[in-house]
Amino acid sequence: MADLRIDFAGIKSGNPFWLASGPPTNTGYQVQRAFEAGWGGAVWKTLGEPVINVTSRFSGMHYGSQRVAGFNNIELITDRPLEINLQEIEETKVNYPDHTIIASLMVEPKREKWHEIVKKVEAAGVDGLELNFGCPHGMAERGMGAASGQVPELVEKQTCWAKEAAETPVIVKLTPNITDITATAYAASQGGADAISMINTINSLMGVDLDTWNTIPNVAGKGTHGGYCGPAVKPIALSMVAECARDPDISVPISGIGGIENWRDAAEFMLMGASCVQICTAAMHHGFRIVEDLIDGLNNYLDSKGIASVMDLVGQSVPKYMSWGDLDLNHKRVARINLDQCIHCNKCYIACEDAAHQCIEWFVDAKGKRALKVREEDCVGCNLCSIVCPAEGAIHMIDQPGEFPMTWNERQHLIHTIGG
Amino acid sequence: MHEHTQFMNEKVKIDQILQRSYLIISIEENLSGTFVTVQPQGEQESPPGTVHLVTADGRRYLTSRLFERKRVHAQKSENTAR
Amino acid sequence: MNASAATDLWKVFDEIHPDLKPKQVMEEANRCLFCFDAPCTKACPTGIDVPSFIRKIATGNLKGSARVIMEANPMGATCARVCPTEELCEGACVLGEASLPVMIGDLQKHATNWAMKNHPQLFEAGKPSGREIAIVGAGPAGLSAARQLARFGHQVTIYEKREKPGGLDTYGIVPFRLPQKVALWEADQVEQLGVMIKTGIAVGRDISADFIQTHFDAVMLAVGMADVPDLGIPGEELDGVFSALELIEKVKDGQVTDRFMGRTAIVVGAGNTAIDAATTLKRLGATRVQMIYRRTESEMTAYPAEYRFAKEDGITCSWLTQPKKVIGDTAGRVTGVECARMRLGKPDGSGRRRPIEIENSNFLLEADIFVKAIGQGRHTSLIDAFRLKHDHGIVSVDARTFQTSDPNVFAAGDVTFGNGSGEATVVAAAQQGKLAALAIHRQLMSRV
Repeated sequence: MADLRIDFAGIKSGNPFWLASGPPTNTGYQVQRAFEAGWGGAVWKTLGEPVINVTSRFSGMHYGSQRVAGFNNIELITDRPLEINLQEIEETKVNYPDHTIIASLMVEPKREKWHEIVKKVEAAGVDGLELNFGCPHGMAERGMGAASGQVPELVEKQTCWAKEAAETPVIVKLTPNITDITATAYAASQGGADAISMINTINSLMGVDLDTWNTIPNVAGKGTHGGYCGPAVKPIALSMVAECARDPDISVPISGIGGIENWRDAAEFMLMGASCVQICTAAMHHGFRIVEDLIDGLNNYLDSKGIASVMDLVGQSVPKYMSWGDLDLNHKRVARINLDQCIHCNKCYIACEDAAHQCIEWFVDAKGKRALKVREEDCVGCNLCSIVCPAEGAIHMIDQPGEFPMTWNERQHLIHTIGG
Repeated sequence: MHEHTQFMNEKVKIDQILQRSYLIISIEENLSGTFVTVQPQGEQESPPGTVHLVTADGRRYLTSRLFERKRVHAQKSENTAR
Repeated sequence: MNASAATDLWKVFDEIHPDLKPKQVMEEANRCLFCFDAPCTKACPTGIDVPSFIRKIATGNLKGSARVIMEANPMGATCARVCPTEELCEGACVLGEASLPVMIGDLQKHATNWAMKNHPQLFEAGKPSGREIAIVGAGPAGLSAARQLARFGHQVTIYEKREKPGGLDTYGIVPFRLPQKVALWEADQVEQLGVMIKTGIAVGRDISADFIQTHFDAVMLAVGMADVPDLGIPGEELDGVFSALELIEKVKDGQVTDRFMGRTAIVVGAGNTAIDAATTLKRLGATRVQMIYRRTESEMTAYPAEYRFAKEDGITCSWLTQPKKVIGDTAGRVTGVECARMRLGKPDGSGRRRPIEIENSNFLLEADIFVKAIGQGRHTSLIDAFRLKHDHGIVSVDARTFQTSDPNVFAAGDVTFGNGSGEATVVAAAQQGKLAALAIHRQLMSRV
């Protein structure tokens, strides 16, 4: 059994799986159920001046027969008074002293407002604070959430204010609704953040009802943009984590959030630099018990790799992530079809023919049966055929012994030397 | 014509440039591809010629060979320095 | 029998195979890989673009889906129910090896059910060409041809001797496999294109072949086959001897009888019609139903799925058994069948091993119902009335032009099938009708 305990910016936790701030962490009842199920920590639903929510708040993006490939919400922060939340936090902390509770906070961008809330929640015994600079909907219209999270100066200043009052670690949760997340990540670290977490939800409109022409979801026939999350956003979140992890100017720990559903996703985020992960949509889709396989699967994975502590996983893939200009142009990879596994759906053929480099051809095999093969000299190794192939093992991408490496940056440098 | 065949034609030209001791005067890249201006070594009088490379593999191959040559040179001079 | 008992009895003839539930439809439709150059399409005798119609189901475009199906196969709703899909489209599905084939037949049923329920106009008649074509027979081949010809703009009149169009689909396939309304809907689709279907008109009785030949620009013969022929054994006139088709036709038309309640029945034959007759008898209350066949299970022509279905119904089979004589009591009612044991010899003309009677092997099977299901006879006299060349009632046609010995008379469907040429299935008849229509159209339009 590997050691799943983590130390995240000084916050100790039994495992790296925290419930992200959201509907599942709305009450003490829910958070205690989650801790009972095995979650290492929970980021309490964002505290602030209690809101009034609309009904019809969520919507799902279903893909084929798969429900909830993506998820969208227009729910705001907590709609319960601070005192009630703090009372429940205290009670939860008493009942589950070894579990991590982080308070997510959102107030107006004013120094005294931050001081006030930080002091109050710390008095309730939280293990850390997460500043919500991310929610893209509703709160942003009031100058909070993503509205302040999109301006690096505001991020830095508010982090500073929170830090002035805070005794526990301050995590800054970043919005993805920005061109370059490293700008706000850097601002947070300059403001004194002990850690950053990402991503919050992405601006989204889930759909339009083709019968009523209403937005999805709609409130009395009207709609607004929401925040998008769920499995579909994982690649976006992962790249943002990776960008921050590889940036030498951002040296604070990262909590990875965005589309994480299972231990595999979690391991990927950790390899890319996250030292803990937060999960919300998957718990909303399946309930808290998904944590069982998160723990068990990660444990077995670490054991199979001979890794003693999950912390040893953190950041291992970061050096492999770089700028396009540093990739090897001379690397040669080609597709090869394994006819033993091929089920003859011909999807690779039409994909290559219509959308790639027309290098998959028909031939008649020894038994007189029509089959497909790759004309390897014209294959650019794009992977499309292997992506569309539904038969496991029918198309392999083969790395070929190539010339010595040459990157784009090296090449351009060379050309300039010759030219000039 | 398959792109590979087109590349093989360009490769022949590139190999000629590199083997017959041409002097590469400049490599210019623009919307039409790569233009390599060359002059036979020791024949400074004759006007320079231009090779137009169209295929991605051709453009990659040319610089790759040059880069390799540069590295080998660098290696040699490093060895000599020792 | 009182009215409510009759209603209950009728329930056993409801379609057995359930429709897919909405969620099953979406799961199944989304399982389709949308293969390129798809083997299912190639395996379909009418060439339905299966991936296309399934994708349209998945996107909620059911009208488009039904159109893709019915475009290729004017009997698409019938074929969704009666095609041997495990040997055709589903047998070819590439997922068959990897997991399970997509339920193509069931999805086809779903899309065509939608069309039956929502009545969209799937096709339009073509610009009037001024040509008139007569089709004899409103079965699958005739209707299929009529649909295509109307779309080409020709005026089509179909002469059908029965009261309703649809041929075997309407009268000859048991309702629990194919409800009559399905076949009638397909006929209605054809009529909506302006095709006139004159039912209750028998050519040779109510109208002459000569009249048709002189009054139309082209004639198409699609009369299918006739009733089950006699076996030519003693006792066939006894009370309790039935033709399988006659039996099926009655229940198909909603006529339920208690004539078979508690009876012991023997069905001779081993094709799909024999199975239909046997399972119908069971539903009509027969206690024991036994099929007898002079060859063995490996030579039977019924689809494996149909045979499985019969076995599930508790129907037994006696192989290598040939009826020699139907035995009756003094009142003229069937009491049993005298049979002979057979053995298989060398293959005959059909490629199947020839059954040879074993001497002195006669034995008696007790029964009070004897049903003949040994294939169908031919409409030889009608073919003669058109003065067409034929071989024992199988009209000779040019495989490409569908012309008979009279270049103005075309033929398609079961009337041309036999002696090893073609297969007497609904799907094959529909395809032939479609191709014959195209041939007729080309022929007409090439005339100056």
